[in-house]
Amino acid sequence: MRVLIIEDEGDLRSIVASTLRETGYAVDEAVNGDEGLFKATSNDYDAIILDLMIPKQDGFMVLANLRKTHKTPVLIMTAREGLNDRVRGLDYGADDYLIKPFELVELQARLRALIRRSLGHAESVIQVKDLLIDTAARVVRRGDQSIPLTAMEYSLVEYLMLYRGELVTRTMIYDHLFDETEDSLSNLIDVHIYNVRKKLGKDIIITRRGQGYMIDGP
Amino acid sequence: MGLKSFRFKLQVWYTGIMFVTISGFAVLLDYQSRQGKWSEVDGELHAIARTLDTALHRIPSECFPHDHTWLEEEKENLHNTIHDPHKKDDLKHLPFGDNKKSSHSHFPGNQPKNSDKSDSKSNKKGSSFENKSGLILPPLFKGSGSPDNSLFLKEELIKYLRISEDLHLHQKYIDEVERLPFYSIWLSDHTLLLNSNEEAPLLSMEKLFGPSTYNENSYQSQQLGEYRYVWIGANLSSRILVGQLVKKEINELNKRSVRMFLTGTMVILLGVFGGWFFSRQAIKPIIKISQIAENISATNLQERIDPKGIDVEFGMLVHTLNDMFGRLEAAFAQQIRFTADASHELRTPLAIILTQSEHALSRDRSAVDYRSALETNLRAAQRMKVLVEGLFMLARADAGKWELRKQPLDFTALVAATADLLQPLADAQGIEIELILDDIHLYGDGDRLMQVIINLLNNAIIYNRPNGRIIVKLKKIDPKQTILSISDTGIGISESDQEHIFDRFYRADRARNREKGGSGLGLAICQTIVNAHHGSIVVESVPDLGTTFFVTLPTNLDQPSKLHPLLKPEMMLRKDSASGDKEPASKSA
Repeated sequence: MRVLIIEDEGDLRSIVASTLRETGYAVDEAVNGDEGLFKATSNDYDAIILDLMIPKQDGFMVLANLRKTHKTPVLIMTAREGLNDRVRGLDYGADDYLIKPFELVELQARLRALIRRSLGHAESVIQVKDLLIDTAARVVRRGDQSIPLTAMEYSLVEYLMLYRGELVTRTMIYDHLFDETEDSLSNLIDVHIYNVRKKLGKDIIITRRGQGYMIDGP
Repeated sequence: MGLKSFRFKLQVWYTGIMFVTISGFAVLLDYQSRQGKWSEVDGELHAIARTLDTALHRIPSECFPHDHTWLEEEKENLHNTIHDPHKKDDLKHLPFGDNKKSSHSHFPGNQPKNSDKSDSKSNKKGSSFENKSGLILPPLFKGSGSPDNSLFLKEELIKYLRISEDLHLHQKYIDEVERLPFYSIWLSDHTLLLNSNEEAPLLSMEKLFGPSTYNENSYQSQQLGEYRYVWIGANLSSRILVGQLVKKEINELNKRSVRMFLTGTMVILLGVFGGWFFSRQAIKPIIKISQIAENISATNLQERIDPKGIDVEFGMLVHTLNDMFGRLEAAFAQQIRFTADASHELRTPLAIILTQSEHALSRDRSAVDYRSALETNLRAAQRMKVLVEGLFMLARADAGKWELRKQPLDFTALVAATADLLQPLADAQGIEIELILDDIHLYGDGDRLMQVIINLLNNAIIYNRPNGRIIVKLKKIDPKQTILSISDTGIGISESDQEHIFDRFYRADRARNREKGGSGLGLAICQTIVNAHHGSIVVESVPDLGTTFFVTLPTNLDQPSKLHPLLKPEMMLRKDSASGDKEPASKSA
């Protein structure tokens, strides 16, 4: 999953970013409204974390401009707790609203729920045949066996599971699982897929040569 | 409804004024009506007296006794009578003899006595002269045979008038005299009673001494009990006193007074009740207004008293109250915004501390990570500290509990030292600070003033463009005032922002300031400090060209001042050279 954090408060931005990275997200950062809007419209993010009081153009403006072209889920993260601000934020097209100060676990849970809902899943547990993934606990099981995965491997499985039955192209994987800092990773995906197949079994991930991968496909 | 009640006071005043007015009016009316009545009565009596006088004058002189020896004798008699208390008493009561009906009881202090009655009886028997003990009558009228002495004078007069020659002329007098319902007393110049009819009560002779000179128009009047007298100086150096029982008139006047009193009382009572009603009506709008005002509290301060349906006189009050509510609302709104802003400003560093700690503790970290987390937390905590201190200071200043530690101060040295303190910050941006300083000593709180200079200089550095300039000028504009100006060559402040920059938490660009570590309270604190020094702070700015802050401070001190503890000797030297030849004090070019 790839998220964008638009927050001018450097310390806070980097904590949130590093926390999310540790839990397997690909995280991009923007320090002001202009940069945020540019990144949000030029990349396909799974979610955007948006502060309202940011320079250049404020959060409301970014949201309004973004909504003209994109449906990307947006979580507003702000110190503005007034009812008017909350209502305005949601009306401008935000999907959730989190007031500072907050706890990281809550931010993460809200982010997960946001992404899940946007992909049409209401529950945090997704099952394909005997393969089960709990996105809340970040656990993958095959039958009764819990399978330890690295953050990257987990993210890959999670992503394929969230798009179960659909073809996931290599570009999608690039776009959603790697952040902007990573470069020319063409065979990195292959390495991760190989590792996952080694742990989960070869039959789970189907390769469509020249197109991409899928789980639970026809 | 006690003594503190406005309505009660109103009522008391109103009643008092009404009582005084109405009773004064009634008394005046009563007095005038009495005066009118009495002058009417007196006029009649006077006319009668004149008639009598003329009538007596018409009596041929030969009818009067020429021998006056009787007079001398009677004078002696009278003298004896006066000196004999018993006789005097008799003398006083004698005239009542005629008033068989009521006059005794109506003449205060005079109870009829047996001797009196016997006198009266004997008088009726004809030997009138002696029996009238004390009344001295001239022989002419003495015992003139009238069986009823009450008619004595009248008849005698008429008789004498008839025998006079000019009958047709006298007829007029006869007619008038015949109509006399009054008693009359005819006195000589020596207060000797010459004649009287029996209806006349006796008066103390001394009281009847008035001017005896003959004058057609002048008379004197007096009232004793139920009797009214008029006496005049008459012909032949005599006096004529005419009196009348005025019981009827007195009754009538008394009735009128009673009526007036009752009417007055009624009017006053009506007035009092009316007043009570009116005072209630009068304070009704006040009660209404206060009821509305009472319902306006902190939660609905936007409400106002509707001036419709409220009288013009109270419109002013309503207006004043509404104005006050307006100010309160503004103050409340400001307070609420201030609180919201304060909490908002505190939220971000708090969020950093929380998330950073949570993040650091979420798994085992390297020492470098922990150190970095602690550093982040420290920064956030420091930010909160600055904010809380600023808020606390402003709150204390607002509550008036904030005191300056004023002392004589070398302000020039303070400015130079502060500029020096911030020099590294300016150097980092390549900003040059130029000091043009007059030698200024003033009376102030050095720490606080230093805070002002730090804040202003800090802003001038933060909002400057890279490699910009800052000019700090300290100038005495008159013996009483000094201006400190700090100019930058930065981004400037737009016109609309200029009026708000001293507001707490106001930022032209909120995020930009936060990025640079400002609390949003700096200028508000500057203003508070400068105001506490009875100075003023204003801003002048041209967007994209730069901003100048002018701090005006009173310099009411010309005595040697102590050095600010922060100042070191080398700073003094720097200051001197800087102010001396306007050489830029900054090291950076």
